[in-house]
Amino acid sequence: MAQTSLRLGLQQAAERPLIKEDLRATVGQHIEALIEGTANANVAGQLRAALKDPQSVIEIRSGETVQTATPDMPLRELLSPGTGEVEITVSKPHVGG
Amino acid sequence: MSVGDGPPAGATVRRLHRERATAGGALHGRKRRFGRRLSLPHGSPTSANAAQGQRGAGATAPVPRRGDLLLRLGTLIGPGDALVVDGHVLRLRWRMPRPGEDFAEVQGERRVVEEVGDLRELLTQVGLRYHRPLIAWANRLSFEPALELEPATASRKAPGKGQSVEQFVHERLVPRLQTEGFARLPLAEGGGAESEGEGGEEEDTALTRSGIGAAAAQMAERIATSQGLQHFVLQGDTYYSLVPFYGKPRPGQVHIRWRGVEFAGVDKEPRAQAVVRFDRHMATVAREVFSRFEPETPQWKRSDKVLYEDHVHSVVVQSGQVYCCRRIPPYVVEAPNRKLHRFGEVTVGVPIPDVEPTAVVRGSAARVMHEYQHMFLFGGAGACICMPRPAAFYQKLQKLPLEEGLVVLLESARMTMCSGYFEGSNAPYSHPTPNMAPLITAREARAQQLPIYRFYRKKGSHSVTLRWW
Repeated sequence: MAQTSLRLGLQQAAERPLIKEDLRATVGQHIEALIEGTANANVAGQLRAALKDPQSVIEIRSGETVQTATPDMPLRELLSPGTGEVEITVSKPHVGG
Repeated sequence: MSVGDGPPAGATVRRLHRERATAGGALHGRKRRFGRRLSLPHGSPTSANAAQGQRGAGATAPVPRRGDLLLRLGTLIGPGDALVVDGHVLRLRWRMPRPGEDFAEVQGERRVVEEVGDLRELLTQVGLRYHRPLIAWANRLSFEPALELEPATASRKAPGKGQSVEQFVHERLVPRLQTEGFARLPLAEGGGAESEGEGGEEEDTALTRSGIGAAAAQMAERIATSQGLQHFVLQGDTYYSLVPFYGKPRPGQVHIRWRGVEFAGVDKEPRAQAVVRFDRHMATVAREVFSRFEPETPQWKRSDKVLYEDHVHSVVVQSGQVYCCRRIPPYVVEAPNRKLHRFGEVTVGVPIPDVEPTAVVRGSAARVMHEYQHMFLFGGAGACICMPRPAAFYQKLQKLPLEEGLVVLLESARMTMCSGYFEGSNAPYSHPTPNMAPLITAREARAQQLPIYRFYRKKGSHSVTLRWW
């Protein structure tokens, strides 16, 4: 079974196997499910705050492919049952000038 | 002397020219006047070849000089006066033809013609031979290696700290980069600049298989059949488009006859203006055709040492300076007008002159390792990435172990390049549109599996806030 992991920037937050039921959820719901599995309350709080901030960036990496997502996007649009290891990264805004 | 602009040659002058062309001795006077020009340039078709009407002779891709744009009309056709009819590129020489030499009559005056080649063939050869730089250019990368990013340091040892930069790299930085997990993924194939071999059956087969051959042919066909490029003459400072013509030309009308076919000038334009117009058109076509191809890893200098490399990170020594680098694959940025712009692959790096974090993890440290165009870059190769951050951001990173600070800084640089252009930030006020990158549709981006970083992320927000991590 493929693993799905959650990161806040570079910091690893949670990890668990990807199950079929996950594909029925939205990206935000799946991230919330992953947050519940993290032991680090500080990281969990930062992740929830980042999820609420629409200017944050959610990236879903599978192998060499990276896609961006929004919390309301259905996860099945981004993954498939045959997808390998999946890494979801939530990043706070990094402005350029 | 501009034939096109002066009064047309009268019947007497034309008769004299005919007599001179047929009686070789009459050229003596002209020889003395244009002594140097009578010898054919090296490599140009001989009179025998010209008489036999050999076409395609010498149709080899022009070799650009350093700094030349690959697709310039001037580079393809050469300097001086030129005539293009039915795709044949002919250089017009200012001398009377010898018996048997190919010539064109321009305003009634015979001028020796040197065949440069077939325009389609020339363009195809440029596309084939220079496909790598064309792909890099179309993807907004420069093929030129990065030059002299930093002055060479005399020693890589950090003063007063006891550990050299090299020690830090091998004992701390590389192990840290390996834990990122990218070390598990295979390195991109053909990422080095080892092989630049051209020609050969294997290369031809590879070009055909990869679609480069078809792309080069497509580019050549589109350009060669463009309006204004099928029949024209460049004479002095003027461009004339030509149409096939039979009959008596009007007084003052440009009239050209070559191998029994006649043409008349219809549109007139300053040469410089026409050339710029055609150069732009050729660049547009080339970009449309070659931007479909993925550029190879940026061809920055690999002759210096590579201390570590995995799928994403690398540690290199360039001009005596150690850099920790991160590769960013191609990505798409949404503009305020909702159009999508495709940016090519880029490698960002941070120099490591010291093992003291305050000397490394600081503002303006992150930079691109090669020529690259982006909203947040000002300058060429080695340009620093503009990452507006409060001092507290760097102070926080400087408190981390140096290897951690480097990884975080490079990640911040990546996120800035990819996603730092969004509504509600100051970025769109400094950079109205990311128009340095070519447009791409959402469908194409999905097909190419490119991440799209949105400009609009929250509805109804017009406030200007400076966000920082």
